[in-house]
Amino acid sequence: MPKRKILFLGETYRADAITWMNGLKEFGDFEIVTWELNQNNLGLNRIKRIIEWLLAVIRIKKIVKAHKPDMIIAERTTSYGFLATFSGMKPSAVAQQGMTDIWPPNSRTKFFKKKLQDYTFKQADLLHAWGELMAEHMKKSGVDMNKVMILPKGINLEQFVFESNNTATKINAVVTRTLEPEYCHDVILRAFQLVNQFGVDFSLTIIGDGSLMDYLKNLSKEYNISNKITFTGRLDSDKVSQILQESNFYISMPVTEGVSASLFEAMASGCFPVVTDLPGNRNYINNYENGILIPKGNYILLAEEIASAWNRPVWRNEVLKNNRVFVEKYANYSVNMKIIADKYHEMIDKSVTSN
Amino acid sequence: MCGINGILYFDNKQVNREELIIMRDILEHRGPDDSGVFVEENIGLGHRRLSILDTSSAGHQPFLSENKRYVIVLNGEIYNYKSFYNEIKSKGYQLKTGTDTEVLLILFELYGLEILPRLKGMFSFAIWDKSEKKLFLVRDRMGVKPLYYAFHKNGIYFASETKALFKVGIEIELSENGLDEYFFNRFVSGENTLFRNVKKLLPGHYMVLDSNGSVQYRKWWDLKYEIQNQSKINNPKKWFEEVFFESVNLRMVSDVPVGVLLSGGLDSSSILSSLYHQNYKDINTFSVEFNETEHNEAFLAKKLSEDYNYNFHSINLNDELLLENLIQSTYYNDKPLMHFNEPHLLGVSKLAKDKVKVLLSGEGADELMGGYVRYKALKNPSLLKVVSVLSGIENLNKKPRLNKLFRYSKIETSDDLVIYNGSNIFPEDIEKFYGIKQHPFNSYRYSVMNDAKELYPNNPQRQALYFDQHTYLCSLLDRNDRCTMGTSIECREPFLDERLIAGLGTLDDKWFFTGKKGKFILKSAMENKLPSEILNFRKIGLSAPWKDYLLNYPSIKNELEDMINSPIFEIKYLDNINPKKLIQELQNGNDKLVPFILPIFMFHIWHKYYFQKLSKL
Repeated sequence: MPKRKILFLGETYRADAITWMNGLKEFGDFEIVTWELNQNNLGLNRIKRIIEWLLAVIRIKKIVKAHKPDMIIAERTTSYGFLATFSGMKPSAVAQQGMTDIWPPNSRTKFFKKKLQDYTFKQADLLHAWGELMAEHMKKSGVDMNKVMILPKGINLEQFVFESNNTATKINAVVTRTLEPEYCHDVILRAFQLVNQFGVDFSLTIIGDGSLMDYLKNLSKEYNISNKITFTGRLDSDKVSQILQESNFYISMPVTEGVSASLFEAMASGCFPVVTDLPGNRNYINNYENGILIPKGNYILLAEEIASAWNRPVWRNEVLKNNRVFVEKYANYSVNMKIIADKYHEMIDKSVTSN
Repeated sequence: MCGINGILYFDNKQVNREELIIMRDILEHRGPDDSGVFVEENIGLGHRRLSILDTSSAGHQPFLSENKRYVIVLNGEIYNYKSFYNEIKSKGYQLKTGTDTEVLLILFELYGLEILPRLKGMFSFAIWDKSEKKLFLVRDRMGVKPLYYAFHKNGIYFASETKALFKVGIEIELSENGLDEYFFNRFVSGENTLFRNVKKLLPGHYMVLDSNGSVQYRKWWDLKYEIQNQSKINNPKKWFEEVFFESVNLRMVSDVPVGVLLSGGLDSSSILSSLYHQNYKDINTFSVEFNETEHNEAFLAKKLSEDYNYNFHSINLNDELLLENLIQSTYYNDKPLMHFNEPHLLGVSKLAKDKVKVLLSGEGADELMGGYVRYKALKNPSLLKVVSVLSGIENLNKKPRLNKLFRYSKIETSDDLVIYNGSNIFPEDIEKFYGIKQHPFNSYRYSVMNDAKELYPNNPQRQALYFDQHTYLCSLLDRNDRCTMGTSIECREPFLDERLIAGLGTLDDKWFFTGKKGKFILKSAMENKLPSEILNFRKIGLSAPWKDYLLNYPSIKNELEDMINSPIFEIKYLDNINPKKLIQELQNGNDKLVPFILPIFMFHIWHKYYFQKLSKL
């Protein structure tokens, strides 16, 4: 049988998309053809991008004609997902990326985006909810839940190996989010300034790059904690997993979030999770049970809870062990991607039979 | 009603009996009648008993189940414990005591935590399961009975009052969030406290702790869910009267005398009237008198008591007696006072101590039925914008009440109007008066607010009731518990019956906000039972004349002047405050400063006396 082909619409550079595509190749033996918008969204290019978007369906149809894919998949229900379903190609699978793809929530085009989303919800053959949060939103939006697959892509458990680090003599905290405003590294730094004042020893590793790098470096100096903080810049995933294994606390304070693979990575690697109290995180973290949830921006509570958790090694150790078991069960990349790939094969089989 | 405490270590360390007893006995005022401890390896439970039901020694705690598997310490009462007698007997159990504790433990043995929704009462308790090595900590629906805990030395320490935690080495470290809330919102809401290492178990929640350190937190009673799932009340007035009377009757279950905290206002008078109409005899009532006419309702309380042929008692706290009760109530509350009537409540409880062991209180009526005048401002928030414009008129602004309204009117969002509705200091004041730019996070308050908005969209008045039921009321209940238990008296709140709370949450606005005083449903239910002077008297509540105290009561005035040299001004919140200037301005007649000075003054009193007293014990 010839190798089956999937047309992927989405931003191919994103880690999330790469994981998805690689999983399909590895566990479904699919060949992946990709297409994405070429123009960026900045300045005058925005107009070019809109024109490109308007003409996209013609372009997608040409690719379909040329490559004859067996299936189309796409990310975001308001953009690539809409194009995938509007192109008429069957079967189609679309992933909702965040709690909602209508972003930003107060955008002037909210109404228009909602229409696109509703169309995609209706026309897609399969909808991916990478977490309960997306599924809840879909349910509220009146989606036929029979065509929703609630399953995270998972993480590579062979790469993110468990290391409890419970004998460490100080807090070794790690942050793995991009250095952009929505991830609120300033809140984390401010909290560690207080942790320092509490007299609790720590080191903090901030992995990643972003527009706030210089600002955050200066802030750590202003808070007199720069000697305890390492900014690594962008690292390859092997190095990230190594640092996670060496750390005992994972801190993440975004103001908005869908399902973060980095939370699973940290839980799998033996880091105690302290994350923002957001619906997405609440699906995986029960406050004070297997981690700590901090209300948005509350750096004082963040500091107090980090210090308090540090003084509870027996509890933390229990949490770490249980969290690893949870990730192995719920977010195992090789298991979950096999399920997803098998589902695609089944959809293609059905589509061939019905034609 | 008692004091409970305990320690569970997660690293199998042996509990030190002496340490457990130190924790227990600092709570002696909560239970002078008996005491006990249970220690077994890494678990220890302590209990101070105030005997209310079956006062014999059979009610000794910690109480062991018949099969010796479970051990319980209970603070509070299960009012409907007798209603389980037949059920328990049918399951083959023989009761050995007349206590609610034994009934509760058997029910737990039979049903586990599933029994909680069937319990009517006020309680916090701890049960140790020897077989599973699990500790269960449970708190009642509205948080009438307290339970504080701290994770310390690889274990959990818990107690009815935080002083028991401090006494065994948990440090008194002030939380920045806690201070924010204390100074700017009057009290710390939610599970956090003024102290960094100490938390409260939230009302309607339980915790299950394993010996290996695992913890489960669960909400077992959710008011939002209860309101959403209530069936329609067809005749609210009739329903209210029936349930309220039943609730009062239920709270009369006692083997010792019960009295009433009677202010003379609508709420406590309704309780007294309910007792009268249910033929209860020989009731003692207790009231606080004020010299200042505008604060005094005691004459109404006296008249009603006489009308019903009940025994009226009252107390007037003057100068030194006021200071003495101020210092003592600060100790019992473990934190700076925030309602400013704690000394009065303690004073009246002392008065009651010789006559009764249980007091009924009208607490909760205002939050459940819209009794506070401040809710009126939320009826039409857009009018506040107009009020805000008038704030520039200096003559109007000089009057403290109007000044407060003007300051309040500058709040910009509807959410903040609700959140700051019970405060005396508002966001703009924080910057102006304290020179602090960052507002309190108020994380718990905003989370309650989200639920309130879901239940009552676009209805700030109803949102405020729901909000206060989860915040302000909790703080008042803490105050009631501490001030009455300070004199070994149990306080019961008939308005906080779970059927009333949830049912009232479903009623139309008109049942609350019709008429000048709010609480329309209570007024309607009681209109043929209470005299018109009580039904129509302006609302006072237990509001104390602090401006007069600060200016004219020599003992209090001395303390105020002593505050000038207090080390509290070294903390960053008070960096911008010049105490000498502030006090001078007040003494020169600037009444507007009273709401700003009081939290600082109470903080000073706490700082000056609390540590002193704690270290002496």
